[in-house]
Amino acid sequence: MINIFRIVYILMPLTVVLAFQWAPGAEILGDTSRIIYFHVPAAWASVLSFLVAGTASIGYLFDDKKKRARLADVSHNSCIIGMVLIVLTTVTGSIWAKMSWGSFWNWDPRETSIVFLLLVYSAYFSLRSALGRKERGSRISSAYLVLAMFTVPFFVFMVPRIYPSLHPAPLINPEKKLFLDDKMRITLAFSLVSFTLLYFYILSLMNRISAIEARMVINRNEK
Amino acid sequence: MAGEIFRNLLKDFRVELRSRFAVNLSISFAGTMTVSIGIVTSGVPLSPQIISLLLWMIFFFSAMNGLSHIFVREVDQGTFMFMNNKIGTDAVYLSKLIYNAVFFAVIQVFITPVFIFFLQVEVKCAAVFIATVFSGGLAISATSTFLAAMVSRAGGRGSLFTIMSFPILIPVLWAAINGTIRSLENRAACGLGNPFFLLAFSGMIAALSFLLFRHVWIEE
Amino acid sequence: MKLFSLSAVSLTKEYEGRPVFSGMKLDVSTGDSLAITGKNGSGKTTLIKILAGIMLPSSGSIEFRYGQDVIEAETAARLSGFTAPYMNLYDDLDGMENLCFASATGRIGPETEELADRFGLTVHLGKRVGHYSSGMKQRLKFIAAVMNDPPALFLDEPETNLDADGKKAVFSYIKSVSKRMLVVIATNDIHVKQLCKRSILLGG
Repeated sequence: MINIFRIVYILMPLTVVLAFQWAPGAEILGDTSRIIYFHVPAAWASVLSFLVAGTASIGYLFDDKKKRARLADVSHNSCIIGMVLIVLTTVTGSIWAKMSWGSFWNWDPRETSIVFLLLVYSAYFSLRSALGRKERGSRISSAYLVLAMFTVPFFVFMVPRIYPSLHPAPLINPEKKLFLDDKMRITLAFSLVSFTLLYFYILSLMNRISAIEARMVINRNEK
Repeated sequence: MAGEIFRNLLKDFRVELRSRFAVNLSISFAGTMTVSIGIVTSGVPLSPQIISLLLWMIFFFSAMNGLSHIFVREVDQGTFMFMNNKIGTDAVYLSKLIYNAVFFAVIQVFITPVFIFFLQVEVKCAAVFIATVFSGGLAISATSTFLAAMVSRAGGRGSLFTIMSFPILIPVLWAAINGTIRSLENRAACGLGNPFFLLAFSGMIAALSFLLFRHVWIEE
Repeated sequence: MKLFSLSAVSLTKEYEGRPVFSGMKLDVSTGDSLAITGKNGSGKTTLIKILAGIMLPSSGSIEFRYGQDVIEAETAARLSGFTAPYMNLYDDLDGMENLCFASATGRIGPETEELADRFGLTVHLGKRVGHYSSGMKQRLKFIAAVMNDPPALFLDEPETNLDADGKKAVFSYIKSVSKRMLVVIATNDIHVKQLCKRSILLGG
């Protein structure tokens, strides 16, 4: 499985080349618009890692006992990656917001959603460190992730009611519409695929490390 | 199970009535906040937006002060094992949920008139206002009951409870504030959409918590 | 009378990857009494909690049977009586209220009054448990554990804090019920150990 994700070694450099060389800069915004090829995929991957963590948590809590320990690791590792990605998303997003809207932060629906994820992740890590012991920590923090995941539909339902006046799509031009030419679309799609693969590749590496660590603890105790 | 829920509720109300710790803390906290806002604004009329925001911030933080005690007390005083031995896990969750919902509704009954009085709030649509306040309170208590169980297992740290509750409660606070604004602004535009949303949210959280509770509460 | 039995297979408990005990095999049923002994830190408390169904093992399984039915750990925990030094009663309630809380019916029957009499607590039942001495608390805990006439008793150091009279009362009670109940006691007290038909030594 891990071998498939190794394509990322080819795709990622290709994405960088496409983003900086092949795709044209947007009108007015010029080269700053190229941040879209990193910001949007990072945001997507952070949401993906949240969903993976939540789903793995459901599996961990409700599945039979044998696979459980591994799923707890998957969920935790996914949260670590998600936390890194969400910080990257927030930083790239606010740089972009400064370039296109003139301020670093405007509380538009997307920014608010990112803050929601950021808060959930930091609550998760606070809870996890407060719980201490691993096995108990895994169960309770998994339950928290499941709960957080189920509030997402309510969150999504409320967002447009709170921000009715703001734009429906990400904008990279003053007309407040998504204008991407074909080259830009292809690059963005390419980058989304690369980031998704990158996420899964890192996740599988981290899962292997967790498995090795668990094995090491067992070996140490057997001695 | 009904008998167990009843026994546990009776015990919790007795314990709380004798110590009055959580009630006193929540009500005096909310009272202090209300009065201090009143003093700072000193009669300057506030917009419905600001009033709703303040009202729900007061509710939110008094919930954060009072609602975790229900589980934290059991763990701190070492009584949870006695309870777990005598009351089934499902009954423990349901009785604590009912307790917190009633507790928080009582807190709201105290706070809301004080708030309306000191900030000279004019409610245009009383039915929607009341429905929003209580359905929002229910959503807050349903969410925080489950999170309180988690926090009690993590040593009952106060700020952790707030950190964990806030993200989950964002949609609740939005809907509650939105509903309150509408009920204050004008009679025509106010509907029951927000209270229904809050009730749906409470139901979803309560059902999910009921399913997950044993994973949080039973020792491993 | 329904028989209560538990059989544990390859029971293992770990804390942070470190095993407290592992591969434990145990069979106990009504009429049987088992003493769990062992040094401090050998896992007596952990084992008795797991056997009582109030803690989950890291691996391995326990089958609880009540009559013909296999029951869940949670149900088994609800059926059995449990007492331990780290289990506290409600200090803000009086003795009677604590017993009412513990009673399956929510009320106190004549048997419980008799128990209170036997353990010398009748006159103290109206007092808040917070004002009890530790020996009185231990007696009340014991009554709370045995009052619903449970098919199984799990007692973690039942002799803690008791004076000679209290010990005598507890010991004679255990002796009188050990024929018709399943009794598991975690203890290092030689007299308590002698009450049981057999014993296991942990960590040895």
